[in-house]
Amino acid sequence: MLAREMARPESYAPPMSFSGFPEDVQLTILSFLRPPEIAAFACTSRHSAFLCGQARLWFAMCDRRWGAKTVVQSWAPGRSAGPPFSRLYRVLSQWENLIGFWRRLGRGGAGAPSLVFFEWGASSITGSVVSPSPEAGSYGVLKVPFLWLSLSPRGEPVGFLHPARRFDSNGYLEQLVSGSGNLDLDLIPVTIAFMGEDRFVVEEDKSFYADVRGGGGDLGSSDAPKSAGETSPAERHMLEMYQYFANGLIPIGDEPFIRKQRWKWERDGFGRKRWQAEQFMRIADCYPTPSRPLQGLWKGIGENMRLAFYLVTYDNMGGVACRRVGDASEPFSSYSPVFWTSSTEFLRRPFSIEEENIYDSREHIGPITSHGTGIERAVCRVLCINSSYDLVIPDSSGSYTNSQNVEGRIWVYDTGTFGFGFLRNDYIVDLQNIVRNGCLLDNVDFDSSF
Amino acid sequence: MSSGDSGPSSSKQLVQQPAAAGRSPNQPPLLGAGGRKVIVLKSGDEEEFEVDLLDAMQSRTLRRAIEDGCGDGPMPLPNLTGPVLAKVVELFRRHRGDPRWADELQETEKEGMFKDYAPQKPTAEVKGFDREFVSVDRDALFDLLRAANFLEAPGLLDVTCDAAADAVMNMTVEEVREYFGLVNDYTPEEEAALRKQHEWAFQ
Repeated sequence: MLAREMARPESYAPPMSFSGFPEDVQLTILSFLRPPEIAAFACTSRHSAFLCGQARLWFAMCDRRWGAKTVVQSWAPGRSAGPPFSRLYRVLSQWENLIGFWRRLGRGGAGAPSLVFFEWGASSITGSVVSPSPEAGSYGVLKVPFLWLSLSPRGEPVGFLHPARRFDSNGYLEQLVSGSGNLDLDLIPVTIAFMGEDRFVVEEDKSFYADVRGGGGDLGSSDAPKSAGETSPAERHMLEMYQYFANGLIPIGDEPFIRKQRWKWERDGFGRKRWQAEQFMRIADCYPTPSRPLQGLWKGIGENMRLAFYLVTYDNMGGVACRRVGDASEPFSSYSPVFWTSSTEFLRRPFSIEEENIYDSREHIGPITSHGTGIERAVCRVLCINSSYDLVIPDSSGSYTNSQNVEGRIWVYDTGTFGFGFLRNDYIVDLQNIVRNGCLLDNVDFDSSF
Repeated sequence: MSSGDSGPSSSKQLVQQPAAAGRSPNQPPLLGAGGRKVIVLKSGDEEEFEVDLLDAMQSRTLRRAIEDGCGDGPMPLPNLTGPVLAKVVELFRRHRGDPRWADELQETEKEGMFKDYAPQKPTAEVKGFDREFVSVDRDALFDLLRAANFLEAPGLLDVTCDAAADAVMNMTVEEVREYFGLVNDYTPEEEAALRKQHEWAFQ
């Protein structure tokens, strides 16, 4: 026996083995393990294997890993037994990689925003198309959910995608998201397939219709979904959708029906001829780090008072480049930088008179609502930048041939954010966070953007 | 055992201890130095420890006892040794206000430029303390686990269970058996079949 560091009184009879602890403690210990260790533990004894099969254990493992982000027990809405936690664990360890920002590849179509944001819901993961609010002079961000992932009432992973993403008809989206209107038969059952860490494909789940019909028996009458108060309209909507298929109210798996649906999409101008698989690529490095304070995804109101998204990236040579993202209205926006510099050598206080003048003579472009209120901010560092070619911020004054016109500055404020501007004009575009603590900021609801 | 330089106050420091006689169970517990509400815990080997009332609430067992009015005199905990109790009391003190165990999540103090990106986690200091707390040998860790179980203290239980799980990471099946003192009751055939089934985990 090992040399004891703690003296014990006579009466003390410690459990010297795992089995001496109550089952609750045993399961708590196991809940800190990952599946490979659980598998090894199951091989130690019969009772160990029994413990490893306990739903309680897998619930605790799920809850420990994702409990702060989602309500793990409410996944598989409509399933009275709750979700099968070992499967949920497997599914979530894949799907959690979706959380964050992605760019939709190809086939954007004119005016189709390409920035996509995945986030946790109470019982689902939701993918939304994110775009600057069309309202002038506002930091508002429009978020339109188009992809829901959860477990079906049978405990199987399911996903639904809305192919239309119609940004111009808010009433329609409202109806979709609230689930209040008619069931939306435009939803497509989909599966997610990862291609490495930073890319995934959404494909139509052709087996869905048959699967649902084949196993719909255990659904029963599902008029009272569990914890209805906690499910979001979108989740409720997905559940309804599922049950709609499952209860055979429409001829599921019936080719003519599906064809009819596709025909409907065509007729209504939704989607393309038929919906095709879509690819997404991760936008890495969306947040600043201490060594890369400018890095990340930002939003700023430009001279035209329109909000735009900016992605600032560092290269391995120490250079910085900023590109616009999330709107395809400028077809080359993803290629040519708004500004760039090959050196991140900051100017620090005290600044020269010239630098003070460059800053002081400028106007911050702010939201219309708080115009003239004057936000307190002090510049703590300055970085010299170049605008790229002619593309930068559309300017009616025209020519950019003068070399002075490409020169600009980044002003880093003591608040941690920064603004940028160019010598050719008198503005500062102040950048703000798009996301804080995993949540989109200044989210404009469909309701309010009538 | 590494008790650290800021160990808990020992019994010698409990100088002003008003007589418990005549106090009704509903009266507030004793006031310690500086007006803090404190209670006194007494280990099986007769060591006494002063602990802040709110810190003691991290243990459901202690909370029940306090609510039942047992907090007036030294509270006997016969199945915990002095060294174990000393560690536990220190952990309660360090976990004060820790968002992981606090009943009501308080707005944690945020500072610095990157505050918005750091999830609400315990401070590095507390995490460092936790790590140090469980860097003990197996038997001492099992003593702490046992204390956590007896005291029903979720924070203490999490820290110790995490450490026990950590200890068996990357261990072979035989090593896990030995560490946890488990008896193999599989037939060789059954065990071979199981290992084959879980082959993916052993690579």
